[in-house]
Amino acid sequence: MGKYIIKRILQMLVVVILVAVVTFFLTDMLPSDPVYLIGGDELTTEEYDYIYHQLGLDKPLAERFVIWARNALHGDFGRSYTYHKDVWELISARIPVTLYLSILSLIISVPLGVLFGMITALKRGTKTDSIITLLANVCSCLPQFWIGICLLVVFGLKLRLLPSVGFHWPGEVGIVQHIKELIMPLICLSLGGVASFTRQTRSSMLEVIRQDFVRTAHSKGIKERFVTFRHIMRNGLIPIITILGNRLAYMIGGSMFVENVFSIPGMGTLMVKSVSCSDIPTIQALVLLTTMVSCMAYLLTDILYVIVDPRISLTSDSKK
Amino acid sequence: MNNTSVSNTYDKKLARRERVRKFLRTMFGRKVVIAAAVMLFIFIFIAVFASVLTPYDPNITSPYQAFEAPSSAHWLGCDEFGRDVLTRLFYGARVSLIVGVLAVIIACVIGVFLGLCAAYFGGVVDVIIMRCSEALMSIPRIMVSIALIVIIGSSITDLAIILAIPTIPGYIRMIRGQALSLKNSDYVKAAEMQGANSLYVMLTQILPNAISPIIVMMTQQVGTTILMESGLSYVGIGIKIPIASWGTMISNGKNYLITQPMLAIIPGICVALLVICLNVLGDGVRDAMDPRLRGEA
Amino acid sequence: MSLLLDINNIETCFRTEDRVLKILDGVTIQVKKGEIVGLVGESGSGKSVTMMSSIQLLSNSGKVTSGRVELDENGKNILEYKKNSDDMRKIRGGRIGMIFQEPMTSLNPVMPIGRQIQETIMEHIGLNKEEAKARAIEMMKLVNIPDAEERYDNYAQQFSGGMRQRIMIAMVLAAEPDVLIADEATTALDVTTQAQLLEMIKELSVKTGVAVVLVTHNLGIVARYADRIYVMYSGNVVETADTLTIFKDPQHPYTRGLLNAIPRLTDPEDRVLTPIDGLPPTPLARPTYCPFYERCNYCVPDCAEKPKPQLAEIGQGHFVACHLGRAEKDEKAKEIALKEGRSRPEKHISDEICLNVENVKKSFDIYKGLMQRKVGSFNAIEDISFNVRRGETLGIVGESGCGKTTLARCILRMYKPDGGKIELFGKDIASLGRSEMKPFRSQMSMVFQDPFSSLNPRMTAGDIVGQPLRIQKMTSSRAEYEKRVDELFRTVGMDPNQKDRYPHEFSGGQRQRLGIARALALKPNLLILDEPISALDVSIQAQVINLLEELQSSMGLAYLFIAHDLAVVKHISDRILVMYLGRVMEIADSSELYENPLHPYTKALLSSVPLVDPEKEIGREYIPMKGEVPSVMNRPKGCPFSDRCDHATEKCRSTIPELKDAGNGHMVSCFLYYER
Repeated sequence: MGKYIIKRILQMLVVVILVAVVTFFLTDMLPSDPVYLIGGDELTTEEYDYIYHQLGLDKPLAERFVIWARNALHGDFGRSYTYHKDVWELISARIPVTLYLSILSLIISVPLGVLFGMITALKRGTKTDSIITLLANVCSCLPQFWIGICLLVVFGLKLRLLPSVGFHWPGEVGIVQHIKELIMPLICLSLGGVASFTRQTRSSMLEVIRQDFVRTAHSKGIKERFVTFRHIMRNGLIPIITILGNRLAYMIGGSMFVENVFSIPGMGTLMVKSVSCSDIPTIQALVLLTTMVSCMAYLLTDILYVIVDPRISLTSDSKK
Repeated sequence: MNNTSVSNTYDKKLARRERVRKFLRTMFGRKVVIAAAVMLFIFIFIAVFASVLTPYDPNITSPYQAFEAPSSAHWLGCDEFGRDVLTRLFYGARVSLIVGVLAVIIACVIGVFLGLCAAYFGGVVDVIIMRCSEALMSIPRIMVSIALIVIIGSSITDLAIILAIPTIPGYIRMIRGQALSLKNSDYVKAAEMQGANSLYVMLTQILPNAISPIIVMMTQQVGTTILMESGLSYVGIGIKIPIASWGTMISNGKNYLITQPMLAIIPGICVALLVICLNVLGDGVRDAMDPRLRGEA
Repeated sequence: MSLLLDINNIETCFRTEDRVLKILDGVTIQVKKGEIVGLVGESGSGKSVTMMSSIQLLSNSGKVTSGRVELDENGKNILEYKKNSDDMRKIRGGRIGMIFQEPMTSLNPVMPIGRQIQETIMEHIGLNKEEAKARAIEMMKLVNIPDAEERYDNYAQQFSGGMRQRIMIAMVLAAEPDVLIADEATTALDVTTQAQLLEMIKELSVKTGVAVVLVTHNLGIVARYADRIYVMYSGNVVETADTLTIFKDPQHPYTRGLLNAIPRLTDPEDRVLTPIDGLPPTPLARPTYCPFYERCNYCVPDCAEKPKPQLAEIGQGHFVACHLGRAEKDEKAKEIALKEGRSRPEKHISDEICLNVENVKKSFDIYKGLMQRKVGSFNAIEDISFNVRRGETLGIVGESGCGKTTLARCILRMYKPDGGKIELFGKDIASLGRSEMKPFRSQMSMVFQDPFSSLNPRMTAGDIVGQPLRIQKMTSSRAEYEKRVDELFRTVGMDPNQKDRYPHEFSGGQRQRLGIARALALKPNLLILDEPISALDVSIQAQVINLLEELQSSMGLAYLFIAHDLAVVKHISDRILVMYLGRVMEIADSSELYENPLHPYTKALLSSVPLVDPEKEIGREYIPMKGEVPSVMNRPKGCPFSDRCDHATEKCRSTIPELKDAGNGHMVSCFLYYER
């Protein structure tokens, strides 16, 4: 089991390094000259050379990468072209917001989705099943930001029940206001998650229900709820773990749209801003960081998987 | 001799027709699927004939018509620049469909090619292709697309390419997995024993049998891609503003939510409808292609 | 003896998307206390469904629509209980236990096996957790699972198939049921493991008084182990009697047909198999008259006029569902015998050696770790030597994992052997490269086990059969190609007009014919048949065996016939090679091998095979095989069989015996014979 985890960590490192290399070369793949992006279009030759030198563009590629990577390891991603601030400073204020929202919405959508998925699988073919399945299918087709806008119109602008924009930590505005601000963004972020967990749980459970060992359990004459909980559920939920990491990564990326709707100062807003301004250092840092976060999420789900599914550690044992 | 060959070809045609009929019957077995197909057809029709269907130009502004209420001339009213909303919706359908379909085709072609290469050559080629696609998959999909926008740009074709790239690993993995498992099937072994070379085996034995899950995957990806495109356009880094796309329309409409909420809500309904149609149809294709995948009813 | 389980005239229907299929058409089965009942029939005859219906274990789409099931003659129809009601659960699992065919998937993969046994005990015996665990361990010991205490917490995938079936048996018997249903429980296992398990079930039945229902397609098993037999056909019981009567005096034409279709170990050499023509009717096409009418040799036109025959008693406990009386059938039987009077196709074995294999070995590397480094290797096959003459059939038998398939692939040069010679008409092909190999490809070909996976589902039958011609560019024109394909279709007894159909439109037997036609396309001299009939039903098997024999006679083919069914191998082979853990144990003429087996492994193997003849089974010696089939990865250092052999000496454990002639061309690799 330990071996398996170490293997996964090594694989993850390879991925991160690969992504780091690619993002570093973003600067060189850019269609426009980064010097002009910083200094504006009308630069004198001296000014140009100065910025050119400042950026270290006169050094060979390999050396620049080493310097960049070394700095990045220390959290120094350079200065933002547009905000004229340290990139790390910009990002560190925004990461917690996005992570907080994504994790909260994961916490909401997993139990709900799994619950609905189980209900639909166990009551397959009934009205309850078809209604929930239909809702889940529809919900997974709705654009997140559009749900946000609809909520905004109804609850924020027409009914005026909830604050329509902004995000503040409880320390700044008090817990009640904080929760009020959270409700709509969380609904937006979670709706798709609930839908997708419902669908996945349903199909995974149905897959298990067809298995021979479930028939064995029935043939033993044990109580129906034991068959459901001990035999079907345990096997049916294991595959769900594998999509947890995937979903968290998706939510971190997708938070961009919701942050935009509710003007939340998270990574997403920053990303959009820096893309529109070709703010390379910020983009590099954001891509690298989100990759690392999602890799961590994948790793955690892998570990969880090993703990829950005895088959994994068994196969790695038998290879000894 | 002649007679038998005639009856043979007849038989063949009949059998093929029978198979197609059976496929369509399973695919359109449920009424929802038929409804979705009809809707999708309407969307496509609108997208193709947008310029014929409406007398207005989607981009010419006429300030004195701004925020005009729905009327017989402008069925859905006008937006903040006095452009006809319905006209812009029509042209938006065109953008969404082109991006969605193009992206899926690009991803599928590249993915199937690389996946087959990985399975066919094995060894180093396989390791490189698979490691790269793993790396690509560990970055959140949207981040990949956004980073690519900076490099490639954001025209319609650019967006198709950009949205296609993060989905390529999915195709690679699927086709490679299929190829590797089919490689061990008896009929492939039989062809090898008869002296067939690997390329022949790959193209005549493996590819035709690995293609149906790919088609299912493609139909399901069109919808997701359209959702992504509308999102990117909405936040302002996808389709750029003067071009009519559903995302930009929502984005523009967002500024007038208090007075004209419909400007933002209607294009969203279009996105949702189109994606639902595509997904329902995708499920239909999946059911027809592989009955085993069907959810127990 | 009193009646225990009484299944009375049940009908079961399955609902599919657009139709209702009546799988059981009125089945009556009675089980008495402590007896072993055999339920035989071909696939789709409804034998499993019958047993599952009786304990309400059908999936949601299946439903028993009429009939009664009673326990203890108490007048209570247990089908009236709700599927998951307490009363039903007490019966299902508590009074009637069931074990299934697939040992690999029938146990929960994420729950320790001990817990799964414990669960049953707590449900039905009412012990607390600790007591139940103790009893579970006791049960594991009862079914001979070594180190039961330690293995209590193991998971199913840590056991072999045979062990898992033992665990299933322990689990079922732990609840102290009165009836044990074994639904093809040993079908997926090797002959020796199968015999071990069935002997154990028989012993347990005597010891605990549990009645057993053996559901199987294998007539040998019921002949050896059952007291009474029910024969099923297309959702009906067509005949039932005690085992001796069924085999000595079968009265239903179907039972007779089955017995004429299967080869037996005790057959004389000129025995001809008589297949039952046609296919059983599908539940949708089942007629209102006798369901066997279309395939029956005995039928008279009247049979199609009358309604379905009911079971009628014609002797003590002997029931038959046939309109014809004994006298009518005997009359007809003589007629048939006269008409058929077939003899086996003549063999033309020449002296020319077609294939000569000398000391072939093949090892596989084991890779491990991140970088997939090679950490070791194991020899899948070692020192294999034999030859096959033109027109001869050499049978290769051995249990799963013994290297039969590796050997076949080496000969066909799918693998490159690590050493030794493979001579095809005197030319060594063992180390030829890809292109050098090409001309030899047409001289040999292979027929596969599974007729479903060996045909490309996306190609038409004609394209499949003609594929070798296209690959090897054997035909110069389209017309010539078509002509050859038509010819091949006719050779295997199929209509060339079916060329444009796809594999799924054919039945299993027809697909196997297509596989044979494809193998014959390049006019090979040597055909390697890898379990070519084991996926087929008994009545179809005979058709394919006869076809193979005719082809050999007319084309002078040499066959390498790989199989695990010893009776079939004996029937078709001239000589037989016995393999164990990648080595040759014994080679001899087939009758010689069966009458006078020398190697202790061969002896044990032969005694594991049930004869399809209860009379001969009486007093027949069963040589139990010790332990499990080990893997080639940890083959014993000396003779591979030494750790399971009763005669093994120190020498056997340290040195490998060579394959030597023990006289009469009977080759054996055992010190017992050349140390004399």
